[in-house]
Formats: sequence, structure tokens, C-alpha cells
Amino acid sequence: MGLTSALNTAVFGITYNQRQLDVTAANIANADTAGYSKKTVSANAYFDGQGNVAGISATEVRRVVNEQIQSDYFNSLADTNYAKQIADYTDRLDDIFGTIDDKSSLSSLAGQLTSSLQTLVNDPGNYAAQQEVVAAADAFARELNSSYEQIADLRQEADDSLSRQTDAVNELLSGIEDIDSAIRDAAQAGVSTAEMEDQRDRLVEQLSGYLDVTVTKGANETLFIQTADGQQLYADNQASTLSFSPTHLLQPGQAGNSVMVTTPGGTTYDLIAGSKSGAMVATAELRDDILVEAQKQLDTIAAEMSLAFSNVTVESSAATVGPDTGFDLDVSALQPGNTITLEYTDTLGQSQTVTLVAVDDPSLLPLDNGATANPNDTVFGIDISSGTPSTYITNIVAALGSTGLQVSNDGSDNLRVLGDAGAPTSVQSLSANVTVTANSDQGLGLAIFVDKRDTPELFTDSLEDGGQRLGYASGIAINPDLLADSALLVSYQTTPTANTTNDPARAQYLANALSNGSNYYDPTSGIGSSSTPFKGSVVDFVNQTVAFQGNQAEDAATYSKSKEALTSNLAIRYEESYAVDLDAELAFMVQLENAYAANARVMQTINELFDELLRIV
Amino acid sequence: MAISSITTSRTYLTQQLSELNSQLAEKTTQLARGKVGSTYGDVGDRRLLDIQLTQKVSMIETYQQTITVSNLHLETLNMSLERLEDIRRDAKSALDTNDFVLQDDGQTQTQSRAELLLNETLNILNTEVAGFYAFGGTDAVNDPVATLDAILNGSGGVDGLKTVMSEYSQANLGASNTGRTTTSALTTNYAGAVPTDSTFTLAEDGAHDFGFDIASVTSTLSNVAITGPSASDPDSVDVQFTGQPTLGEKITVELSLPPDHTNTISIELTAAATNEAEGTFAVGADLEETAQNLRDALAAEIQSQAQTTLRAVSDEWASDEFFGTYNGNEPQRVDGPPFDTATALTGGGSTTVAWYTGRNTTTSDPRTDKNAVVDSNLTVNYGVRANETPLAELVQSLATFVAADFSGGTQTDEEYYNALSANLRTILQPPGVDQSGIVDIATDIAITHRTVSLTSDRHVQMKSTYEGTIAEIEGVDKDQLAAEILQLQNNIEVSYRASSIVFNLSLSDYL
Repeated sequence: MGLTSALNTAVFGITYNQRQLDVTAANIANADTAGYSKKTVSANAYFDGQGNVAGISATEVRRVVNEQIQSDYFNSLADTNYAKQIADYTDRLDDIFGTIDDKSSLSSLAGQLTSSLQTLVNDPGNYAAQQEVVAAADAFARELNSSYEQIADLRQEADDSLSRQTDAVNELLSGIEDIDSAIRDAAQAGVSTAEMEDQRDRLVEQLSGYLDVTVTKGANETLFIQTADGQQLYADNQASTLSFSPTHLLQPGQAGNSVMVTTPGGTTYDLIAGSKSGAMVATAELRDDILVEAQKQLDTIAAEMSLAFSNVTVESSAATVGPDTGFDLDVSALQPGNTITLEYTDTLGQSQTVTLVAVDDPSLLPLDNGATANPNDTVFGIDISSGTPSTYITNIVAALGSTGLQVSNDGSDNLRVLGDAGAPTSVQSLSANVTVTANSDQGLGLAIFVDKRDTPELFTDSLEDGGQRLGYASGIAINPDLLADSALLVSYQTTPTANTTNDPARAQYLANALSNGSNYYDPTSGIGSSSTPFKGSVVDFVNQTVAFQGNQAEDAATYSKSKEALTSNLAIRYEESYAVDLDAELAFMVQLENAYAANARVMQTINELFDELLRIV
Repeated sequence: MAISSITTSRTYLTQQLSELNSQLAEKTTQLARGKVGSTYGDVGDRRLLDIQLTQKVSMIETYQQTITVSNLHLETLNMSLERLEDIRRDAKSALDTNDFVLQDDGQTQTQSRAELLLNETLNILNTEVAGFYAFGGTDAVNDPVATLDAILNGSGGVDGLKTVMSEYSQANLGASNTGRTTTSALTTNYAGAVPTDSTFTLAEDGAHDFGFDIASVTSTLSNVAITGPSASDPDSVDVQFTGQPTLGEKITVELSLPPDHTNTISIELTAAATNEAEGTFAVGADLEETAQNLRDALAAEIQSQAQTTLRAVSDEWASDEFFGTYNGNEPQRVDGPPFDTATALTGGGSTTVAWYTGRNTTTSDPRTDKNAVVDSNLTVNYGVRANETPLAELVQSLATFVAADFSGGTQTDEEYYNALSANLRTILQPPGVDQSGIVDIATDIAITHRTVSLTSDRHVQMKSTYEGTIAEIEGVDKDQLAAEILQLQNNIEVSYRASSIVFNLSLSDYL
């Protein structure tokens, strides 16, 4: 142990102090830089045989980051962005479906239509009352059109947004690729990678917002990024490529394209199907599920409202042949989508309901029981493309072959369904629900609404071409005849004599149609389930829909808020774990200053000792 | 969507501050609007209830509008029916059987009064309230009842009541005013110059409902044989004298009256020394002369009855057909011309004035013609048709009385007047009925009115209940909100100060 060794130790100390000061100065300088994590440096001291310090080497600069919290934070970011995206869109949906005190909301317009019809019942000849109904119906149709259009715009927006998100993710991945290769090189060279890792974290953080990725560290500090279901997004310093082709015009009910990923190895997979959370998944879900469902609700409202007014029941007449009783029904008025309902008791004594649905396109046959919303019926499709009632009946006879009933043509081209006293089976009721094709002389029904998507045509709820119901809300319009002559709301008969202009019968029928509460509604619209579909009046369904959208928006907002709170907690903890504390740095600096001064003092003392020694010598 | 950037230190503090700020903004909006939010998403779990109640309130507003109109209709009906009942009572006094005073214009004074009342009745039956004809069922678009002149005299090429009555009286009275009966001349057989027997025949002119029907002939006359009437139409009765009857003996001829021949009149003739007294015939020098006397007395009496009693009954029959159009019945006219030999009726729908043109379809209850929906499950009915029996009878009796012609002022006219006015009074107040049909209708209307006003009261209560609930769901407690805002404001101010202290605290200032 000698002076030299002490001097050496002091020099080492000063050098190390210098390094520490550098790092601290950098920390202070970058205290406000986004994503900058606190850096530290530590020293290794080497001793010789006599216990003297043989050298001090500063380790490479390290980051202070709590990686556990970091990974939690990244994961929760995906959920938050997912929830936020959903909440953002459902809030707008809620707005579209109506706001409080909004006279033009669907529920309020449906109420107005009901009120105006009831007023008309009391004063059918009043032109103003008729106009009131026409105006209310027109407003209702237009509100459906515009709501549908707005939702279609939202879908388009979601599609565009998915395209932008794809580009953003591609950029992030290529950014990660660049930095990752730099980090790998530095790690191999043994150089500090702390600064670069900070930068890479920033990119991974952004990526986590889009997708719920799993990030693991590979060799040489490089990353391995997987989707939620383990598909490769980034590996071995090679990014996969995302591709998405936007749809320029999303058709009703048609799903948009998904985002495809091509790995460097050439494998292709569906990114959305492979992920569970994140803004991109939310966008795709909105585009293909939530918004489509909302459109379907509007379609259901439009369709049921139309049918309520335009469809009339054709009653059957009782028929008896020998010991067997049943009914005769005129089937000539059937149009595609119209139904015949038959209630009978089978050989086991069970009540059965059969719904026969008329179709024009035989390739749709056989129909599934889900073709009607009623959960308790058996559905048979009947080909009516021939246009001849006798052929309809032949088809019905074939369809009902297994029921044990005696189904036949009564000889005047009426459908005859009789029970079989021997079997025994019995028929309780038989009736058809048909759409009126003219404005008068076909019963009290009136097609207030028509389908104007191509040329104004009757809405019969036909199943052809994917179903007339699909996208009907975009094309529902008030019957032009009614617009030209509001008296159609009253005059339902022209031959043999016209009914008088004060006759409330049709107004009464139309008003009842809205409040009649025994319809079933298509459960695929998200309201009700297939085993217990929503049952009620059209107005009830409208209310239910508006409430459903309000509920959905509120749930999404609540979920989003709770996720956000969680993420912000994690963000704070994460930030606290890596952030530079200026006070601590400054205090440390004071400490270093003192240490530096102390080392210098040691050197000065040794210097003085040497001087003294040399003077003596 | 922007990814929130994590800047260093203290970001969360500012984040919390901005959150406080947005809370303050939200609460201020709530306070200003008085509502929890603008969308149904903001309303909370009771949003469906909120939507339904809001709709219910608007429905109630519609019902209330309906009730206002219905009340107007019902009150009008009520007043009209009250007046009609008054008219009915007045009409009874107008149809005064004993007051036969002819005026210069050929009408009796009572006819003039009846005409005034009829005019008013028709006016009332045409009451219109804002497009609703109170007595036209539901769908009348014009006055449901024709004018007085059209009813009496016809219009537009179709016949009125007067023509119909005249045709009926021709058909009932026949050309010779004998009620479609004939009384033959005497057929006498002689033994030398002495008549041995003498016969005359009273016969109907055919099988039909018009005129008299010989129901029975009974006699206590000695030496007189009555043959007939047989069971089948046309009836005829032979009266054969084979000797002289004793003074004081009687013969009675029962004649039944159209249209259903259930009511009869009887002609009783007593054998007397002279025929000066009413209802007698003189016993002559021989049986032939006595038979001739009886024949002449009987023929004269039949003719007199035909021109008074039968004519009154004929007028009533004609007006029954003319006014009995309820439930779409077609008025029946006499099949002619010639009318005085007519044997059947024929449909007169196209040739007769339709005095009532309102709703006239077949119904079991004309009240159901007019509906007003006053609540979701409550429809009140208050249709009234002017040709409902009680109302039609009022018009019928007045119009028939006015249409009748007494202008001759003879004894026969006065007897005709007496018979007709007595018959018409019976129509206005049928025997054995305490309350008039008009009062029955008025009662129906009054009950409906009561229902409507009770419903209206209920609506007012329900509406305020619903609105209370809506306000509870959508609304905010302003006092609480104000307190919360104050607290928030306090919090924000404190946080600002705290943040500023935190941000200002740096060791660098102290080194």
C-alpha cells in the first residue's frame, strides 16, 4: 500500500464520478423527454493481491424500468383502446337512434304516427288529420332512411379507419425492425442499448394500442411479437406485413375485408380472427357486427311497420267432408314472403303450428324453421313461381304430407285442410296473411310504405335475393299514391259502391295494426333470442331498439371508463418506475460533487505528501 | 385514434385536473338543461321505461284532443236529444184529435203547428259539429235528413211522402172508395108478384192486403141466412132474406184493417121502423124492400168507414213504409199504376225520396257506428241514426200529419182527421211504455259522456304521474347538483394550487 496506489484509487474514483455525473446530467437534461427512462451506471472495483484497488470500471448504462408493470400496462392499453373505440362509435349510434326530447327520434315519430292515426279514427274525413298521418309516416320513413345512411357512413368510416390502422401498424413494425437491428448490433458489440430500448418501448406501446400482442425478448435483446393466439407478427428481426383492401361501398349485411398478415416466411393468416382486443379488433367488430346489427334493427322496424299496415288476413271458411272437419282457404292472393298459418292437433294430441312461407325462387327450398321469428312453428316453403293457385295447392299438399291431415284442392282452387277422424288429427285454424296489391277493394289494409330502392315496389318481406328485408330501412318510403291522395287512408272500397269519406274503418284498422302486440321479431337483430324472440307491438319494438342502443352505449362507456382508469393507474405506476426524479438527480449530483471534491482532495493530499517527500529527499 | 403519450413526471396530475374540469363542464350542462344527459345512454337503466312513458304522455295528449272533440259531439247530442224529446211532447198536443179548425190555406191549425215542429226536428237531425253529423251514424258527409219540402213533395224526379200516401190510399180505398169491397145489387125471386127471397153479396175484389178484409158477419136477424165468409181470400158473404126480420134484431159485419189485418172495425146495423137513427135500417113493406134497405145502409157505412178509418190506416201504412228505412230497409210502394186495383207492393228504393241518407248498414246497435278512442283500451260509441225507430217515429208522425189533406172541411174530413190524429198519437206514445225511445237514446249518450269525462280525469292524473316519473328519470336534483358543482370548483381550485406548488418545488431552486 503506497501513495501511488492511493492516487490510483482517487483517479479511478474521479473517473467514475465523471461518468456518474455524465449520466446524471443526461437524466436531468432528458427529464422532460417523452419515454425517457432513468439511467444508472454502477462500478466494479478490482483489487490486487494486497487489497489495493487495482481499477474501477463503470458498467454500461442501464435503464431503470419495471418490466412487469410495463407489460401489464401494454396489455391493458389494448383493452382500453378496444373499449374506447367501441364506446366512441356506440355513443354516436345512440345519438342516431334518438336523444331525449328529440321530436325526430324513432320512438317519438312512431308515437306520432300512432297518435295521428288515432286522431284520424275520430275524424276520418278531415283533410288535415289525413295529412297529419301522411306527414308522420313520411317523417318516420325518412328518419329510418337517414339513420340507416348514418350507420352505413359509420361502417364506411370504420372500414377507412381499419385501413389507416393497418398502415400505422405496418409503420410501427418496420420501425421496431430498424431499432431492433441496431439494438442487436449494439448488444453484440457490448455497447449500451438503453437509449434505443427506450425508443423501441415507445413503438411497442403504440402497437399495443392497436392489438393485444404478446412481446417476449429473444436473443441479443431483440423482440419476438405474437398475436393473442400465438401467430407471428415480428420475429428474428423480421416484421410481417399487414395488408388490407378497403371496400369502397359496403353493401347492407355484407362484411368488409379482414386484415391479412403475411409473415416473412410467406404464411398468411387473418389478423382480426387471431386477436382478441385492441383498437383494430374493435374497428372490425364495429364494422361487421355492432353496426350491422343496428342496421338490422332498423330493417326489422321498417319491415314490421310496413307489413303491419299492408298485410291483411285471409280467413278460411269451414268445410266438412264426411266425418272430417276443417277449412277451405283462398290462396290466390299469396305473394313471395306471405304466409299461411295452420294450427292443428297431431295424432299424439299435441298442438302444432305450421307456417307456410311463399317463395318465388324454388332454390331457396327447403326453408329452415328460423325463416319466421315465431319459435313455436314448423316452417315449410311453398313455391309460388307458377302464379297458379292450383299449383300452389299441389305444392302445399306435398309439404304437409307428413302432418296426418287431409290436404287437398277443394275443386275450385281453394286449399282444403281437413282433420282425419281416423288418425285422429284435427284442424284448429287456417288463415293466410297476404300483402294488398291495390289501394282499395282488398280489405282494410293499405301499403302506407313501399320499397323504393329501385323503382317503388310493394314490400312483401320476400326471401329472394337475400331477403327483401335486408337494407329495407334505406329504401323505405311513403307510398307515392298516398302522398298524392291522402284520402286513401279512408277509402278502402270503390266497388260496388264507394265507402263514404267519413268511414273510420280503415283508419281504425291501421291504428290497431300499430298497437297489436302479438308479433314476433327477428332475434338476429339482437333483441330477444331465437327461443324467446321479442313479442309485442311495432311501437314496442321501436322503443326496445332505442333502449337497446342506449343501453349498449352506456355499457360501452362504463367499460371504457373502467378500463381507462385501470390503464391510467398502470400508466402512473409505470411512469413512476422509470421517470427521472429531478430532485433525486440533483441531490445525487450534490453527492457526486462532494465525492468528486473528496477524491480531488485525496489527490491533492497525496500530491502534497509527494512534494513533502521529494523535499526531504 | 391518438395514443396518449406518456410524458415524464406529473402527467397524471394534469390528467386528473382535466378530468375534474370535464366533470365540472358536464355538471354545468346538466344544471343548465335540467336533465342528466342528452342521449338515452345517459339516462341509465330505466331508459326503456322513460321512452315508454314519454310515448304514453304523448298518447294521452292525443286522447285528450279526442276527448275534447268527443265531448263537443256528446254535448251537442245531449242538447239535441233533449229538444227532440220536448218536440215529441209538443207534437202530442199538436196532434189534437178534437181541434179541427181549418185555416184559409186549407191546413188545420194543428197541421201548421206540426209543420213548425217538423221543420225544427229536421233541422236538429241535421246538426253538424265540425264535419260530424250527429244523427248520421258516423260517415255522413252531407245532411243526413232531407228537407221538409223534399220529404213531403219529392225532389229530383223521385216521389215524396204525399205521392206515396196518395198511392196507398188509392190502393186501399179502391176506385169507388169502398175499401176494395163490392156490394152487389139485389137478386130477388118471386112467387107471382110476391118476393120469396132476396139476396145481395158483399165481396172483396181480390186476394191482397189492401182495403178491408171481411173478417166475419154475424146476425141475429130472423129469416136471414148468412153464407160466408169462407176461409180463403177473396172473401164474399151472401145475405139472403127469406122473410122479414123482427125489429131490434142486429147484423154485425167485422172488417179487418190493412196492412196486417189484425185490427178490425165492426159495422152493426139494427132493424128499425125507420132509418133515421145512426146504425139502423128500416124494415120495409116486404122482404125485398128490407133487403134493399140493409144493402144500402151497409154500402154507405162501408164507404164512410173507408174514407175515414181506412184512409187513416192507409196513411199510417204508407208512412211506415216511407220512413221505415232503418238497417237499409227498402221502402215499399204500391205496384201500379193503376193503383186502385193494385194487388201487391213493389220496391220503391229508386223511385222514392230517401228521407235519411246517413249510415244505414245493417247493425244491431247504431251506437257502435261512431267510435272515439279515448284510452288505449277504451273506445266509446255514440253513433245515432236519424232513422232509428224513436227518431223516425217522431218525424213520421209529424210528417204524415202535415201531409194529410183535410182541406175539404166536410164531416168525412173531420172524421178522417180524428182517426189519423188518434193513430199518430199512438205512434208517439205507444200504450204501456213509460219512457220514450228518445229518452233511451239520450240515456245511452249521457252514460257515454260520463265515461268520457271520467276517462279524461284519469288521463290528467296519469299524465302527471308519468311526467313525474319521467322527470325523476331524466331530471337532476338541482340543489344537489349545485352543491356538487361548488365542491368540484373547490377541488379544482385546491388542485391547481397544489399542482402549482408541486411544479414549483425543485431542488434546483435551493442549490
